[in-house]
Amino acid sequence: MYNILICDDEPDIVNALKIYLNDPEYRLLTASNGREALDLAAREDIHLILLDIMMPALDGISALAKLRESSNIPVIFLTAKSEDTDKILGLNVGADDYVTKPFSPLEVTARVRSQLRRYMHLGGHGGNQTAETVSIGGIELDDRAKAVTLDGDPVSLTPIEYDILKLLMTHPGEVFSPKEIYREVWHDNPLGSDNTVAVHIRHLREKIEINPADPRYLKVVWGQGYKMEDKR
Amino acid sequence: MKNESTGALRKALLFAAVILCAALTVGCVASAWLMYNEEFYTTPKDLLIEKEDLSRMRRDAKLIVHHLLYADYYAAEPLEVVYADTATNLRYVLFDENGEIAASNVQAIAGEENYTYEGGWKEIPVYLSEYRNANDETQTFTDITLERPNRERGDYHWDNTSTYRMFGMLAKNLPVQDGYRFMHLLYNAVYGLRYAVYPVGAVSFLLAILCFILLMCASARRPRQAGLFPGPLHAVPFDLLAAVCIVPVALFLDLMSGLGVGSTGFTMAARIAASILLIACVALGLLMSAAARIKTGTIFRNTVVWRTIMLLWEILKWLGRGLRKVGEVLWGLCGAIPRFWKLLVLFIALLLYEIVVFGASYPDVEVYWIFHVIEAVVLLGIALWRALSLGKLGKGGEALAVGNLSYHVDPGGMPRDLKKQAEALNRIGVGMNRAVEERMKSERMKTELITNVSHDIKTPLTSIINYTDLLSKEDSGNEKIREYTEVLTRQSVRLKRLIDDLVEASKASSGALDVSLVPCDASVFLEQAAGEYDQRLTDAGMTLCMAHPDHPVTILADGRRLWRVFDNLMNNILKYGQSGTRVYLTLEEINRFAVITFRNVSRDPLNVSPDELMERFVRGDASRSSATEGNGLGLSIAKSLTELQGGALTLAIDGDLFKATLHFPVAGSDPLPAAHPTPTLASGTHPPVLEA
Repeated sequence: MYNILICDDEPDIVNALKIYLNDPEYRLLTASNGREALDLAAREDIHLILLDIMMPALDGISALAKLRESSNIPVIFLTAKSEDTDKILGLNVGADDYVTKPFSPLEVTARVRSQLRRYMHLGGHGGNQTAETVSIGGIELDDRAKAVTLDGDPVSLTPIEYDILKLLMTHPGEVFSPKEIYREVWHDNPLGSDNTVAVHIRHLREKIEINPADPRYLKVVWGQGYKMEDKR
Repeated sequence: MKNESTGALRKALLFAAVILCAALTVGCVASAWLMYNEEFYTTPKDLLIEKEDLSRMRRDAKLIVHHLLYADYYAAEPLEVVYADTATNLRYVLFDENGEIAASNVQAIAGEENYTYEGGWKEIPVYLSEYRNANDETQTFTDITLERPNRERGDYHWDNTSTYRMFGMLAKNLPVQDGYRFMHLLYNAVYGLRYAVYPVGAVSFLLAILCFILLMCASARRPRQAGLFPGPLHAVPFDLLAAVCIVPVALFLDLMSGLGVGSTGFTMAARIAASILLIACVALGLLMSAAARIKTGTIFRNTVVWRTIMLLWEILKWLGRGLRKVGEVLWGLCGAIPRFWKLLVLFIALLLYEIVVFGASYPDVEVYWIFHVIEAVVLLGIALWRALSLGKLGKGGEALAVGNLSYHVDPGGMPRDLKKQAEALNRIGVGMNRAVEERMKSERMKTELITNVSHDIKTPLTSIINYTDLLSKEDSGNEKIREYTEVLTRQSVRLKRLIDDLVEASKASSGALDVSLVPCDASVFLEQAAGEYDQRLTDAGMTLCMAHPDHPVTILADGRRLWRVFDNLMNNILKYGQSGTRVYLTLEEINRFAVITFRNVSRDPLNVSPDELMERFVRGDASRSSATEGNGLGLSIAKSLTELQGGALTLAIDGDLFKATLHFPVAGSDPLPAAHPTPTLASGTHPPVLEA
């Protein structure tokens, strides 16, 4: 049983979220502003917070900043502010994820599940780094078993996809151009105009990202290449 | 080759014809004139011949007397030989002053029937006379005339005139080949032709003209071949050619006239005719060349005179330019000298001038000089003060003109009137600063307003989307409810997009976006775009053809913003492309520009212009059918974003072919992007680069 706190000043949105997150595994608590949310978080054993930013009394950013002084539970921002600057600010303050309104219900539930599994199974930290396994965020790559798990669930990858993912995960934060990826994975020089790498990356993204258009891990650096977000 | 040779032959024939006809014309005119002078048209033939014979006889009579008188001189050709009856047709008997026969080639007077002339012998008197000069001294020489001389001639006086008498006749039928026989034959022949010269002359004149015209037309041309084919002499300047031709002709003529001295009759005529013929040939040749030059339009230009004039003109122009440069440099030097020093130098020059001019006029008045110098120093002080103040004002004005609105002119220590101007200048700066600030503020506020409104709209929109989603999941069993819910879902999603695009369009067009340009590889962009859209295009029934150079094409761009441009253009293709066609995505490097082209075939006829398509809320389908999503902001946003990154987006429509082209300067070709966005509205601090 997980305790999830939904904090939004709009009751209709809170109600909708309650309907979507209706699950025997979840116990849902609600708050209508940042202050209430902090109070609840102090009283109850909360496992995850869905937090709006623009709220009366205490806004989401300030509330999170306060919360992070004592807790590292997963927090997902759920806000109408879709500007890049807002997103950066939110993630810098300590949010684990950032979803903009209007949101897709499926995406929100998937993200909630992902954050909970990571937090509960991996203890909210970067997991065990050994010589044979690499993990970034919720993705874990076991080179011995040639297996990849996402938030504990196995992901089925083709050998090429596995190789690309391994290359990127072993060099987190490093940008690889399509040509470099081709050389490293295929051990050959790419021929002329070719979008093979780009297609494989898209397939890979569809398998390991909740929203492939807004990836959390495997990022497209437009005009340069691809990289894995450094989230160890 | 054949044409060339037949052309040359034709020209040669025409040339000869012109010369011939002209010569004939001249001959006819000359002979007509001669015959008129000789009274051919008024006198019977026999009389003419008799007249001619008589003049010939007179000449002979005189010669015979010469032979008698100066037998020594004519010893080589004595009278008996030269005037033997086998050497001449003349039959003569010469009587001396005493009436005795001095000489004769007639055997017997009785054989008179062998001689011509009805009227019998012609009597020709020959007068011999001696001269006496003014001093009454008798001269040694004797003059022979056919006329009785006057008693006095000039300083000389006639003396001892005696008369010889010659009787002459011609042998019947003129058996000897001599002048008499020749003249008889000539007169007989020419007399018959005396009227024929008129028509012959006229016809030959017309023929000459005709041949001349034909020759001029044929010049520089070839039969049955268009175009001009000037000869090898065409390149020679015309005046030079004319001089080269005329000089030898003149020399020849000079030689001819030199030879002509003392000669008479036919040789003279032949020489004149030869000279005229030569002149005519040379003149005709030159005229042909002139005709060719007129045809090619180079008669004046291809001359030494013209070339010399042009050369002189070029030299003049060059000199003029040089002078102008020198003037500009001097003027620039003058302008570079500060006003203060210019004034000082001018003042000193004026003072020197005064000293020289007035000093010469009033050399003794020393008191005047003291006062004058004081006055000059005071004037100089005032002028320098004003000049310095004006300099400050000028600097302030220039600073304002280039946009340095915070420049402050210090009005301290200026003359009163200039101080007012300085203050006005400062006020202009402040006013303009305020206006610019207000404009920037209003732009910022506009974008902020749209952003904030969008936030406020998004909250209720979230509820609408969520609850319609929930509604669609309820199984009401009512078909209509399901249908209506679908409409709600579709339209609410559209509204969401519209709001996002509206914010983006507003930001992009007002420049309120921060762009951080970093070197990107345009071919990587193409590969990524192809990878992202390959599946979706295939699903829509289109095939993507992508091509880019093998080497990296580096451009300066903001990756995410440029992706938005690609995204919008590819989305457009996805939305409006005809299924079953190919989509071309190509990258080329042209003139240090990376040119990215998107080409596809439109599904619906495109009945709007490319310019209209770029405007906000205009869509390719004029019907605005709600079947296709989109709001007409995509291209406008793409254009604004491209321009913000220093690129250019152009659209072209050719029938159903839709073409969008992106131009970006290749990095390294231009250190600064050509159209770098003006940082007027950007906050100045760039946030870290974000990846999608």
